[in-house]
Amino acid sequence: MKRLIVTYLFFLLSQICVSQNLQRVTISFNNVSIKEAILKLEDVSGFKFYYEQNWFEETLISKSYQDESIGNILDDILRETNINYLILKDRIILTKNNAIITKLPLDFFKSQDLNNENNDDTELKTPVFQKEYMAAKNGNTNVELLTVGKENKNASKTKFTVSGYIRDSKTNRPIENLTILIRDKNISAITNEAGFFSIEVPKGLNTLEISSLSYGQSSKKVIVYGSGDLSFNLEESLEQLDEVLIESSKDDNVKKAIVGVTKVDVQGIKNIPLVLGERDVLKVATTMPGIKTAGEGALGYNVRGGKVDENLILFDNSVLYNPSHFFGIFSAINPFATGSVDIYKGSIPAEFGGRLSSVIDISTKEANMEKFSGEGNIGPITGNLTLETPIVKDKVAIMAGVRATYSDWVLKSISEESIKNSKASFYDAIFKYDHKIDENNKIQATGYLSNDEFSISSDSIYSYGNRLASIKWDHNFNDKNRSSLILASSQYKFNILYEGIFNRNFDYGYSINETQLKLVAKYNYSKQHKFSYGLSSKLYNIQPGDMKPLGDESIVQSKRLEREKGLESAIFISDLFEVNDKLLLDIGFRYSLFAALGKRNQNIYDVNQPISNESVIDTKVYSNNEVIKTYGGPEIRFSSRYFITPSLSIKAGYNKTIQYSHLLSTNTTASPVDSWKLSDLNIKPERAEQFSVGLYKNFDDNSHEISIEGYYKKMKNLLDFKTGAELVLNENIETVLLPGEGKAYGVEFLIKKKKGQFNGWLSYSYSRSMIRLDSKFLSNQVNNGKYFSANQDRPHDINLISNYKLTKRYSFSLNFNYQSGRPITYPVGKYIYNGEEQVLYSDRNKYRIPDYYRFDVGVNIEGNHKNVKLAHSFWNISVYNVLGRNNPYSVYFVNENGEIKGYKSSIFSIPIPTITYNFKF
Amino acid sequence: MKLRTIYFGILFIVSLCFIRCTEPFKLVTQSFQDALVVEATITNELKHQEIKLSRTYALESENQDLETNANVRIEDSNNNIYNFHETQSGVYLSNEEFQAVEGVSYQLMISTTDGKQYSSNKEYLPPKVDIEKVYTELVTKDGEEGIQVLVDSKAGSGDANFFRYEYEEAYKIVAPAYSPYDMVFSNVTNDGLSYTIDFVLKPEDVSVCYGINNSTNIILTSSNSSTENKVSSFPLRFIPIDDSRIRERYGILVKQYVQSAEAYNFYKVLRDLGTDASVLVDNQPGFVQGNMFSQQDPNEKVIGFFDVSSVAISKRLYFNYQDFELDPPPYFYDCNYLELNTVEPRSASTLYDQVQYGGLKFYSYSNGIYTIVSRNCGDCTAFASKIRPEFWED
Repeated sequence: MKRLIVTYLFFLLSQICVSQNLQRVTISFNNVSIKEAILKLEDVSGFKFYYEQNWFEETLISKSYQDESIGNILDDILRETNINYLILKDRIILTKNNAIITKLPLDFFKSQDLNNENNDDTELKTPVFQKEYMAAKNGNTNVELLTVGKENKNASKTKFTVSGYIRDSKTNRPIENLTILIRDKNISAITNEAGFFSIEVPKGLNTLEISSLSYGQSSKKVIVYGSGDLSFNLEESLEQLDEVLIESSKDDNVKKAIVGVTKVDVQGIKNIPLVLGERDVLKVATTMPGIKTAGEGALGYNVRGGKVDENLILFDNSVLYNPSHFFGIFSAINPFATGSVDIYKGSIPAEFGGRLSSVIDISTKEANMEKFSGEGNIGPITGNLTLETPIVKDKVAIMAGVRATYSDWVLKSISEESIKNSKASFYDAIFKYDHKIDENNKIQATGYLSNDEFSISSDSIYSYGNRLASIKWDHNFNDKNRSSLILASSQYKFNILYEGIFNRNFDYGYSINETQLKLVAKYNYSKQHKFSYGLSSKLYNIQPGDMKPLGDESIVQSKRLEREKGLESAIFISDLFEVNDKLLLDIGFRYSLFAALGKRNQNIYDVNQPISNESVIDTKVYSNNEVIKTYGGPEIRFSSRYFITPSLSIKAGYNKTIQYSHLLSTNTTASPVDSWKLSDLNIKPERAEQFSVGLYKNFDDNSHEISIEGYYKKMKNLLDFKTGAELVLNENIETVLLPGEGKAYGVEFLIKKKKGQFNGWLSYSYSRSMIRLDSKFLSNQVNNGKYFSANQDRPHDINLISNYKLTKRYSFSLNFNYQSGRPITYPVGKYIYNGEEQVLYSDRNKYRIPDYYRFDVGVNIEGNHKNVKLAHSFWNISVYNVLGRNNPYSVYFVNENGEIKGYKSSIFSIPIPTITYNFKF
Repeated sequence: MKLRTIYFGILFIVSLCFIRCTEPFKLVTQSFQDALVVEATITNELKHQEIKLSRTYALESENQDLETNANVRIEDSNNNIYNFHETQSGVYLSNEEFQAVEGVSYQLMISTTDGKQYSSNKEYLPPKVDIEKVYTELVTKDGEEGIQVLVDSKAGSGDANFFRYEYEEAYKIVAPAYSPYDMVFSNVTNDGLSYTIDFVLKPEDVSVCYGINNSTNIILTSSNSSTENKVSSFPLRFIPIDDSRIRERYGILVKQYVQSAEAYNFYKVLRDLGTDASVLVDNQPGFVQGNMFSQQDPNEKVIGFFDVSSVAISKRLYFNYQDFELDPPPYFYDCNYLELNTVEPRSASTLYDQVQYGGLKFYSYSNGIYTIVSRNCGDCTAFASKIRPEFWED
């Protein structure tokens, strides 16, 4: 319908412009490209042409016209192309694919001219511009004419700096990543997170084009008399995209140098059906290629064949050790407070380090500086309310959000015997403070708290929680230099409380604390070189286990392992080097250094024997803060992009990472009561190298994205353990440790449709992850020291996320997920031992549980669209696992009355319908 | 209205199996791996020591595959060789009585008929720790009331930290519907419609029997993490109050083995792999390496641990439900009493058929009504032995 109107308008306009159309020209082209032909035509005819250079293909034409109308000439030379044209007075606007309309929606720009100095009489003082000014003013009345700067008659400068802030006209929030372009002069700038831009502009009349996905594309005529401020507001225009020209600049996937990065569209996820109505940004991330979980109830994420402890999950710069509630069924991230989620799985920026596989960088959104607002939802398990309010308008604002389970009625009402005595509850809370001191200084502080409590049997209670705090000071020194100073601390702890009926009651606790100070600076040296550099230092403090008797009767011996301390520091520098229009390099270098610190005792083992309590030859005592051992090394982070055509690029990267802290686990999937350990004298840091390459293509004005990426990763010193190893209160973990080598490789494919009534994405990945546990000692080998499938090895993974918007009120969504089953160790025989049946297990991970697949459907019903209402609301009705497939999560074998029995368990084996009510004001 | 909708949604979810549905499945062998299984524990008791050899068998199979005709011997560091001979399939007894002593190392050597040689690591006897007492308490465990049998050990030396327990429980069984008489039919005509009934005294009293069970699970504890250098209040065996075994009299004998750290760890891993201890998190299973190795192929999987442990045996502890003022627990079986007369032809026929062919036993007779009962209730030898164990004390 819209398209029809547009066409109709175009038709009308064509009629209006008929007089210009008739202007006659004599011209000939001899083996020139269309672009050159247009340039020549521009020269001869006196028309000004507007177009984008890369629209034209390199086909050559040879034509000649005798006193022909310009319209006919254009018809002729553009016949074979998909370019339309529009003649407006003395200007000709070329458009690609779409037809053009000359009227933008009313109040599309609410611009204001902030620089009022001598504004009134600029015309008089600047006769040079008179003609252009008049031309601009008369030519197209709906494009506002702005003026900047004060003219200095004696100035010989021909270029001036125009800078300013661009804000959303409704919320007054700064607009980030907006492109400002002066097309004919090939000058561009991008707004930073404060909405600030700065651009070098030649004197005189300039046409500034502004484009972004959510704000569409628009242009402004600016007459520049001198350096000055140009701030204005834009109105969000998501629904007007079809009417407003033309192409979005959301082509980062093609343009940026970085390989293997996934962005989660936090706002867009509300249409995706999720289990029990919880909007979950990280769960959405697992529908992208290369990011997986071990199963529905599994903690953590496996990125490109890495283990769950290999991801650096940053929540406003603090490390989030456990991103899950309730065994991974819910994520610990409040979706309403989340601003952006970037997942680096291929090239990791040099400023990040300390984990092998990925960085999941979660930023909260900036608190609303304009007015009081909030968002919330009511689901069957949890309620969530997030509020934002300005304290000093446009300067200081706070945001607070709380999410909690109503009660543990869910588990209580389960009839299954094994979990009848179970209970579970959780909450998380976030508080954020944003303060804009002035244009060049900004402070943001974030606090976060999460807590989970569950019990499986009536005598024990498990609890765990994260506690994060961070403060960040952003400072702009000048247009070229800015910096951020970050202080972030993080704590993860868990506790097991056992109160049985005998004298063995205890209270067991674990905690890890880390505090990091980091300085990151950016230096935009030139258009070609943009540097980013800084340093960071992080202090770890771990209480690796503290067992205390509970009650007077308890005979449990109190035992506390020695604290672990370590200092992880790094310096880093990277250069975004634009070699030419086509080739962009991102060269990063990081040098990290880890020092394990006393006070501690460390065993020294006989190298000719397997490490065990028997092979200790010496125990070294280290005093407080004495360096036990240092590890370190350079970490190269290189990535590059080359444009094959403007919408097709190839990228390649090499990435090296070192990890000094490790999650100790003897389970096939991670558990919330697994503890972290630092590298020390006997435990080396894990190291990885990754090579990745990718091909990226955008279609139809970037509304379709397609990409294919491949990677190969090598890992060293991975931590695995002997079968049945005891990790709790083990002073010498190295005696049960099996260091391993890993390799992972894969191909990831993604096709995405970002716009239109029907949108969504389809991803497929083929990936393998193998591990080898070899040793010269037989007792330390697994599967005879050969490579075998790691627990996270799930070769095939298909995800479809689709959304169909029927009307403004109703939208439907459908998800599909297919994954290969995860590897398991299956019995290959049984035997009787001690009067009881036991099973002999196969080589590790030789078999797989059946493949996983699931369909989900959902409907979103938006509240009515009355103009005056208290809150915007919507209902979400979804059915998770609509086919009710019983996807096995695990298979296990237990002894019952002397006999071995096999069981398989699944998490959501039936369709789970959910209704949630969401509101926003 | 909206609230009601939500509530309905909630109820709908709850009524279904929500988190971790677990269902059993039949184990099917995908590929079979054959391995030698060695069950060998020698102790400080002077006796014919016993070693069992078997092999792994298919998951679907019911029958244990035994290793017969093997050559088994133990060599100690004093150059003594103790040879074993096979007394029944797969069970080997030492030719002469011997006991393990402290400070001497022992090594088990096995040659199988397929020509393969196996040997264990050299093992030493840990110090002996005596049992202080075995006692009972009435407790409620996970919502279930029962009698808990507990063990205290005496304080041991510092090297005795790892304990494994076995128990032997014995209980008296009294048939609830016993009659000293059996019913005998004669002159049977018309397919059992008419007959003459005689009562004959049973050849022997089958009202009292005894059941004996050995523990089958792996019971372990360590005094390592305890403040006292001994085992105290260790819960060994839990008997629910409605367990038929305590209906008459129950006795339990406890064997306490002191193990080496390696042997303890072997048993512990074996136990943990067979126990579903946690929700949603599974231990990584795998082969549990013992201390037996093939001499030809070090990669060959040999199952089992040659365990040299010192053993202490408790006095047998006796009790029954009355000691705890409990209600009498039910009998082992439901007794179906059938009351029949011989006047009614159908009744008469049923009586004949049930006693003659159905295995039911005569219980009582009064006023022309015969009461018969299932055999398990009238004759305990149907499922237990009437031989009174030598150790039994009433």
